[in-house]
Amino acid sequence: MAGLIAVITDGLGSTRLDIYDSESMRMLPRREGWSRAGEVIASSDGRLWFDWPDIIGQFLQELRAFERASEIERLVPVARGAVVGLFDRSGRLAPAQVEDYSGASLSGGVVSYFSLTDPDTDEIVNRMASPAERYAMYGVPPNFVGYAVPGWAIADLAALYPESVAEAGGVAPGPELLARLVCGEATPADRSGLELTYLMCHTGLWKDNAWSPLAEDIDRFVQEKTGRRLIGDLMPREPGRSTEIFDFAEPGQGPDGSPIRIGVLKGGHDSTLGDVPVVAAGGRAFPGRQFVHFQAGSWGMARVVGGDGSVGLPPEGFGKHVMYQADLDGRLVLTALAPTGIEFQNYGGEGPAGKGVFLRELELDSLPTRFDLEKLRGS
Amino acid sequence: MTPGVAQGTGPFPDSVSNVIGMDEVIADRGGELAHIALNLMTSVMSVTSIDLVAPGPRVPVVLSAGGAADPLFRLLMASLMPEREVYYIEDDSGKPVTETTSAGGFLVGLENLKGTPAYSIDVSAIGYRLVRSQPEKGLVEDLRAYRAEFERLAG
Repeated sequence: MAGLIAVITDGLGSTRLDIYDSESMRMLPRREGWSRAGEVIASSDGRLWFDWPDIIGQFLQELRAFERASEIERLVPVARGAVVGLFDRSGRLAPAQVEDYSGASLSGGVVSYFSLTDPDTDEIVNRMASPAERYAMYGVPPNFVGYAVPGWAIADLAALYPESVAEAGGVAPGPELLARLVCGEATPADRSGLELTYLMCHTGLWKDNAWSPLAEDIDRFVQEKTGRRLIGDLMPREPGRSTEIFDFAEPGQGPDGSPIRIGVLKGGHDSTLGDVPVVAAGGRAFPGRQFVHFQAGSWGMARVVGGDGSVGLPPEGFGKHVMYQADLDGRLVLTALAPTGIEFQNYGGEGPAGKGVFLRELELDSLPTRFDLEKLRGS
Repeated sequence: MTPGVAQGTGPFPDSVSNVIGMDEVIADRGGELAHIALNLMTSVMSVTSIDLVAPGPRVPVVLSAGGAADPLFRLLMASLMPEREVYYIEDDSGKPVTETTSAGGFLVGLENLKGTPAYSIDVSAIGYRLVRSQPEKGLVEDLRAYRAEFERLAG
């Protein structure tokens, strides 16, 4: 019997459950309920939250109703960068309730996304502002996008919410949070699903099989602010890998009454996993050559992949938008990013603030996808 | 158009959101010109990002994700970089592949299940095929000038 593999992909616009057949290598047709727009919840204390617990709850319900649910052998959580959260000592996302701006209390735990504005944490960032210093000290220049760095987010949490951190059971990046939610949250902290590529991609915390000087800086900072250690306390002593089993989820019985038991992997970061099939395809099309994989999503990500794995320095140096990330095996991937899809959506799409200005002015629901070459020439 | 929604990030961090010729854009009631203007902005930002990391002008580019489904975006990318080969990925029904992330997750799951390293799996089995996007020669010079002006305005 062909095993099925489920993938939960968290994106800025929507979160999706996809199920693949491991024999035919094809994705099953998507069903209603397997894709859901994410909601950003602004809480009264200014933090932003995503409704992951609700989304995961819905997907687990969909899986129980899926007639082939008992054939699902693996589930892979894939999270975007920057998402990080606290969990309490029993392994549940913390805080369990948060009040939004309207005063409504949202329960069940939420996942937070922090914007870094604290002067103390900015000082850590600024200390690494010189590309030469970053490269010399850290080897992996960190992502300088500010809010897209869980490493900073942890420091930020410690600076702005020291009591929350002091009382926490730990902090976890996106893939682990998804895995915990799928597995029922109450996963003991000593079975952390921290995974290598995530740490490499968006933190610069892990380098040459050890915590980096950046991690040690944050470790010291967190200890000063909260009395807690980052390394070996809030985070485990070392990460695992994307392809390892995190835990087993047992969401119940499928429609035919057979038990569902799914191995949940540690998962990965969206850009890294987005490269995998493209590297495999490009490796055949351009044997031995490097190429650029441009992921034209909410963030446009230009990533140098393929070839012999050698990595060079960026022609015009590092910056907030030019950095090293990593592939599944921890090899460096030179990356530049631009908020292309975000800009597009702001004008020509629909977001939390409503319709973009073009849609409002033109009184359209969406922009056309057709174009006239002569009009393009004229523009 | 110049970007500025996510100020402080991307290749034009100091740029301020602006639409030059807004009246003309919204006078085109079908929204075609707005679609063109947005794609011009995002493609110039994209090409600038690629130049910031590409280790040489002849390194090929493979487009994926939502933007790759738009034929105008593909045309502009190929025409803004006529010296590079620009590709996108089609599935076996001939549709552009926009979600390689989910497929990447599947290949990681497959590695755990069957032991085949994710990067070496034959993706033709999942129906992936690289398709070349050709530049429109008549646009190349105009786009070069557009890009130079964009860079001047966006800083």
